[in-house]
Amino acid sequence: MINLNTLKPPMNKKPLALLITSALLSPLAVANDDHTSIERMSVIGSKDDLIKSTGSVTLIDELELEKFEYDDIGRILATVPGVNIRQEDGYGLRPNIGFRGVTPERSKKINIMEDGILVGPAPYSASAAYYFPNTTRMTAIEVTKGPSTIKYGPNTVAGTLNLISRQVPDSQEGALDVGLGTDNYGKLHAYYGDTVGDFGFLLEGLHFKADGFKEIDGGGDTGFDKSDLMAKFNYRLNGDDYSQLFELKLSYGEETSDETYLGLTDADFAENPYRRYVSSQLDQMNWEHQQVQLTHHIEFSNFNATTRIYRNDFERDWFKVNEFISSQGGFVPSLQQILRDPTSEQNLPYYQTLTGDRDSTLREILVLSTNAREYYSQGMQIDFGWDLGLFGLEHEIEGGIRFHEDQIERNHIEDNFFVRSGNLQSTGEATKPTSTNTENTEALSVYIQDTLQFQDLSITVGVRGESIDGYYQNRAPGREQDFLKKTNKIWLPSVSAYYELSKFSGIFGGVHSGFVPTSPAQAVEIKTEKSVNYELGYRYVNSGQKAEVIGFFTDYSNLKESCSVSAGCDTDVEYNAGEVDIYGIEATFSDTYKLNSQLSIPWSIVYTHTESEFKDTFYSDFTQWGLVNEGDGVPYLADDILSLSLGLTSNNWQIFILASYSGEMKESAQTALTVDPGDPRDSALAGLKTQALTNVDLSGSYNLTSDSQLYAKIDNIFDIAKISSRRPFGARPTKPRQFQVGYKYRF
Amino acid sequence: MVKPFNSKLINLVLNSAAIGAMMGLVACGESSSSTQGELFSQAATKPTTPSNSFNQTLLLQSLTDNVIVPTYTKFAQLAVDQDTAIGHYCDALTSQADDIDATQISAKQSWRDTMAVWQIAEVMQIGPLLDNNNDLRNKIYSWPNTSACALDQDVVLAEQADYDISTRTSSRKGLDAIEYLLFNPNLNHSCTVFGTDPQGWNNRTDEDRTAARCGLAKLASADLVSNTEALLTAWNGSASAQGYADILKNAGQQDSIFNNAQEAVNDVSDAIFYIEKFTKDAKLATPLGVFANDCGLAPCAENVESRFAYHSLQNIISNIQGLNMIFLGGETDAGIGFEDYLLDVGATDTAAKMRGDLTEVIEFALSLQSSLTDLLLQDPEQVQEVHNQLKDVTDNMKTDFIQRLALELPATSAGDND
Repeated sequence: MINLNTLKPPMNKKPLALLITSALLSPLAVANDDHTSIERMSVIGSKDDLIKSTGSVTLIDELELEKFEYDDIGRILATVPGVNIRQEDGYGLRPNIGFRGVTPERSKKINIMEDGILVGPAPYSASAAYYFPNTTRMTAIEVTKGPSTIKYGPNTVAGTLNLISRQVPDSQEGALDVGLGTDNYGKLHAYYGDTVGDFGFLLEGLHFKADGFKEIDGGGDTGFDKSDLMAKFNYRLNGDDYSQLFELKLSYGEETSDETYLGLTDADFAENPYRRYVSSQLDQMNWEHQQVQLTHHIEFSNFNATTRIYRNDFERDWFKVNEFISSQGGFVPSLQQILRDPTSEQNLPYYQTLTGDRDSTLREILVLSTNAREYYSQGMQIDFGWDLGLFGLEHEIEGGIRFHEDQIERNHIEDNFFVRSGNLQSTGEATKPTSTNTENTEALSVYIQDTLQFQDLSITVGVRGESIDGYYQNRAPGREQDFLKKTNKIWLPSVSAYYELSKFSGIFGGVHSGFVPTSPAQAVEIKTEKSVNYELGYRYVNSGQKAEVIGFFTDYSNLKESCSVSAGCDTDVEYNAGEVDIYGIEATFSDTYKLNSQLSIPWSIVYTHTESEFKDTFYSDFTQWGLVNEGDGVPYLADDILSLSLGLTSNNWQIFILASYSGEMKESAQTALTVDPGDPRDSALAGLKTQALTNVDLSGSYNLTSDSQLYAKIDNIFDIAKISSRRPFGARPTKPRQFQVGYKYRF
Repeated sequence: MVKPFNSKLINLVLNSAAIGAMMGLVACGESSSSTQGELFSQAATKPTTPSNSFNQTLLLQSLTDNVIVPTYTKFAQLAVDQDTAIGHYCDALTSQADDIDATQISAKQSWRDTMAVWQIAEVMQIGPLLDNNNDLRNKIYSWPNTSACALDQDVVLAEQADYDISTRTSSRKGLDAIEYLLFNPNLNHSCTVFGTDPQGWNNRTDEDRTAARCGLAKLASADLVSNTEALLTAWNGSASAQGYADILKNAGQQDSIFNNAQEAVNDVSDAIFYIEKFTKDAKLATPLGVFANDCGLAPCAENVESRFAYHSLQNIISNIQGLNMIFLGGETDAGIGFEDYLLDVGATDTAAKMRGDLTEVIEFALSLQSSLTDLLLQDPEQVQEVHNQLKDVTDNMKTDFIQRLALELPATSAGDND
């Protein structure tokens, strides 16, 4: 987390970059009267703002990010309380992040933003975040939970994750970062920027790759290649009583990864967790992402406004094992069923085919689906801050309006394969289209909130409005009449307060309305997700010491989940669960102990405890729920998450160790399979849990000169392998021990 | 300017009240509206009853009393006859009597007779046959989920005193099991995976193995009788439970599990789409090579349904005859069937086309003089012609038939796989 007392530029980094970062890119930017203060433009505002924030806000700054040189957002967020994560591929290529107990599935219930703009492929129409920005090139990460969430949307139940990219420096600045590691991991990261007169620019490139830590039977690639390019150009146009800045941001990203949804049976996992069955040998994900963003920021003494016009395009094809079919029809078990019980008479032939130990017959034909999708997300967003006196009190008003449109176009196809002699061989059948449809959303969002200061009490009252027009159209021939148009409008109020107990401490609390819209293809019978969210906390911040304890309670009147392929469904279908309670406590303690003038020991402890319970007994087709009894907990939510960070820093070297623990998680809300005869409505993974995971990472760096640095790290130093999840198809492992060394040069 | 405390407090209250009032005005909840196309999937799951005078309850009563229950009843009687015939055959084998061949012929014929009627019932799978993932249906006939190796294992296991076929999986019993045990001329076991073969089996004499197979066939035929009795009981009811026949005939009335009669009619409609997924696709298109089979995309005699008894074509004919009975309301058009429903809603052309197409394909299939296996090897065009003619029927079912009667198309038939 940020420690404002240590918020200084690393090595010779220019502080103005941080100023511009915040001013332009964070809707949280708060103006005050001190024009010269660095803190005026910092992402979370001034030191006072941190202490007095009426909600839960966490900032991970560049210094913090550089401690471990993580590429995986899941590992980065281990030090943020209230974050629940389900790991998937081990590299964090497609992270699953939730806050305060919401499902982490494809991070679909949090708002993912880059530089203050929604950056998910289609946040309204298809919220599953198959695109996630490379955190390697980010300079700060901001996590907002609680009532502050009302300023973002469309999802207000959980919170917002805002990733902040590198800013145009105010003078010449550049850097080169080269890293090498286990499994042929390689990273090349460079940027250069300058400001000449009123013009500034920044060019940044990143490429990183690995051969992968999994081993396909018979050989094959399991790694990834990712590349990012970004350019920013800005122009300052200041007047006598205002400052103004225009900026154009262009970025391009791409990924090729030999990733699969196919995991292992528990027995095979125990033997070799990094094995991959031969039937996944052709699986591969390819995507491309482009972004154009035009920003204008103007600031007066008591008023500022930021206007952003943006367009994101994302295209992905994931060719992967999906299921078995039989040319003779009849019952064919799902991959999940096969891997859960591979030796049963029914499943054994399929398991043997999956592993290549047996050739396919016409009853064990493997279907590989190419879920090709094209997305765009575009709009215009205006955010403003206005300090004014009214009725004798100072008001800090923030507001905004956003016109947004996004779309997903699905062009899914399937191809059939035999497994023959340990290889996949096309059956020769024609490629078959499956889902061919479009979902489009046009949304108008507004928010306004006012913070009033009354002696030691700050009260913030706000409201967010969403007006969402969704349109679904099946584009398959003859299905012109398969469409749905719907409109949903909602107002979401919030109120929060901070009471200052002392200069360094206070209590805070708030309540706000949570909301998650349904996608355009869902019938109106599928209700939106709605909740009332409460939080109450205590915060102490003084000279690098921080203690914060927050209790939270999310009272769902209706919990909604959507089920995509990653969760074990064929298409993005949504389900309702009715009333659900999720509650818990988040705690953060951090300090830096100075051994002497040279050596310091920074440390932090972050702990989250979460409880959840369905309030109704019901059956759901949603595979993660199944037969749910009142009192059952929601799946993929660890009761306890703990991280301990300890460092030893000197003037020119530093060592950090991060130990994290995440408790076991239910794979299904249903607590056990029904007894003989089993209920066909059983959730296939009823009663199973992911394994609790303790992970220890070690990192160190040494400044060769004021401009150059050597760094090294070991992720998972005890080489612990655990089942991260059995969804959608079998057990998949966490990342094994990985070594990495690197060199950085900055000027 | 600093104001006195009370004044500030008042201002705070005023400010809060003003903001609260503003928020209160807008924070008044959620509203939504929608319009949808005729084919929107959610709409398709809620078919509306056609606005006509046709009495769906009469259709259900007719189909139940004139078609479904009589078919099940006939099948049950044939299952008993089969059990008797197989018993005689096994007795002859055991005693090495002179009439082994004759009893074998009789047993095989009894299987053919039973199977022919069951294949009519295959297009009538509703209610009890579908409970618990088609449990009862699979106990009677589990094709295509069959396992020759599993049967070979159970032939040996069945020689033990504690063997209880009722507890065995469905691929080790039923009509498909009996076919393998009675008709497979190859007495060697079919297990190919190491460690699964019944030990010592291939070393036993032919007579011994034939008798052993017959032993399991006898147990399977007795088990089949038991399951057919269960089926009849489920339909006819008992002292403690209402029969499904009553449930179907009273669909939509007070305390019914159906919201309306049309919902039950839709269940019958779902059942007859067997003709598309199984008869047209699995039994014809797959062995023809339209879909991938064990020979790739070429005709493959190995992949027919009844490859040991050479009964595949008769099975197909029975399926179509079963559909025809549902369509006509019985073996003749004296009863009320879907044809009457179509005529009542004015779909005269659809009704006439279906009747014509069904008659054509039945007559053509009956005219074929070879087994499906032989046709695939020697004259696959004839099989292709059966497929084409049947596709005329199913294409009509998936379009005009469904739409005119406001029925829901089963998800498995939503696309056209071939």
